[in-house]
Amino acid sequence: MNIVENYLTQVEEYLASDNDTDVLQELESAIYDAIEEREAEQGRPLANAELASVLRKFGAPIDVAAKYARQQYLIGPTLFPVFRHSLKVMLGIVAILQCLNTLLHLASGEVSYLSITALLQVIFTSSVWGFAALVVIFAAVEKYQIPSPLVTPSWDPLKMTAMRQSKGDRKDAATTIISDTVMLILWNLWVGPGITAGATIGQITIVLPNVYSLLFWPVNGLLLMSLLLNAWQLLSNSCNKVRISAAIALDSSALVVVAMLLASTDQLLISSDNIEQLQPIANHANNVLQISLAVVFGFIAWDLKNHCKMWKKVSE
Amino acid sequence: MHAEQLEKLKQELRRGVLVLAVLMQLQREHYGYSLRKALQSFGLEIDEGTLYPLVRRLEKQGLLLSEWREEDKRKKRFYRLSESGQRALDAMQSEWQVLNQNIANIVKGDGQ
Repeated sequence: MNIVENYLTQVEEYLASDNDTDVLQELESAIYDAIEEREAEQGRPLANAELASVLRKFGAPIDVAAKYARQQYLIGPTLFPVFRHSLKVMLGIVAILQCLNTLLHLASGEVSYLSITALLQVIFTSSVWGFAALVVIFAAVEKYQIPSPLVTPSWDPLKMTAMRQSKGDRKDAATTIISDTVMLILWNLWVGPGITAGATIGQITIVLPNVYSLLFWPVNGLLLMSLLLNAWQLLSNSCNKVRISAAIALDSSALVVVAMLLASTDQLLISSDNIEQLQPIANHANNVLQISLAVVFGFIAWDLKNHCKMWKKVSE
Repeated sequence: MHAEQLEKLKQELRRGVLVLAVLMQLQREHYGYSLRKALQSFGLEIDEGTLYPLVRRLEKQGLLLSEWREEDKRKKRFYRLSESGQRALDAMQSEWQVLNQNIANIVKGDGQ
């Protein structure tokens, strides 16, 4: 009976190898029992069309094989929400970092980064790698049942620290991301590590104090951390102690850095052949920069105050 | 409600009692086809695609024992309850009686 043998061969294709023979034997026995019953009713052997209707009752080969298989997940229902959240955060970070990278290259005149296609391509490639890495990590946690602090079986409502974010918080995060990006670009354009920061315009040379070069990498680090924290805030529904603690540490470090910049007596050093004529302008520019730094200091202090308030609220 | 949705709800209800019905029947030895016929005779229709994987799963869980035997010139796999299967059946029967009573109370309560 070729039609039955064909069916069994198809089922065998989809079975896991460890239970093949046993399952197939049993299935074959069941099919022939059903065929015998029908033949007894009809009083004659069944035609192919009638055999087909018997096999249809058993179901499609892939469905039959699936029913015998152990239920398996690549990433199970318990881990999946954590995976989805991690994916959101990863994609957000990749997009922000790649946009930043492109903007920095564009600002420094590298024409190859001018194309939107190049940016999209690099975001896509990084995202695919990030997605693949996350899938491998979570699939390993699922397969080997690795205990993960992200998926703890027990929790205490009294100890939960997450606080719902308002729309205002999210808007603030978006604004901060934009301003940090602009700061990062300007900082990298004007300042460099270990070299005297400044520019020459015509016969006028403008030099920033050495403290700017010394703080090149710390400021870059703080701005990048701020970008990542605000991206996290933007993508999340709630804020928790971990993020607020990081924000407080960041604000405190930023205050120290800005204070060091403010402490420099001359913000801009201008040298020129007409320095006497340019001195009032130089003084004016110094004052403007000093006031700008003071304003930045004030904003960071305000952020620190808000973060401390949030910390107190979340700790209640 | 859509007929398909209703059918799915009915299937969910039936699925819950299927294991109990199968364990009860396997207090006597059966092979797949005879088990299906026995359940059918009590009005419980179950298709082959559901029954055979179910009995294999119960066997893997240690509730059933099986052996291959030749009957009518064909090899057939015969199943019967194991000791833990009998204990599971006793527990499920008690649970069924409690559930049955609870549902009856709910129906009675709604009727009042």
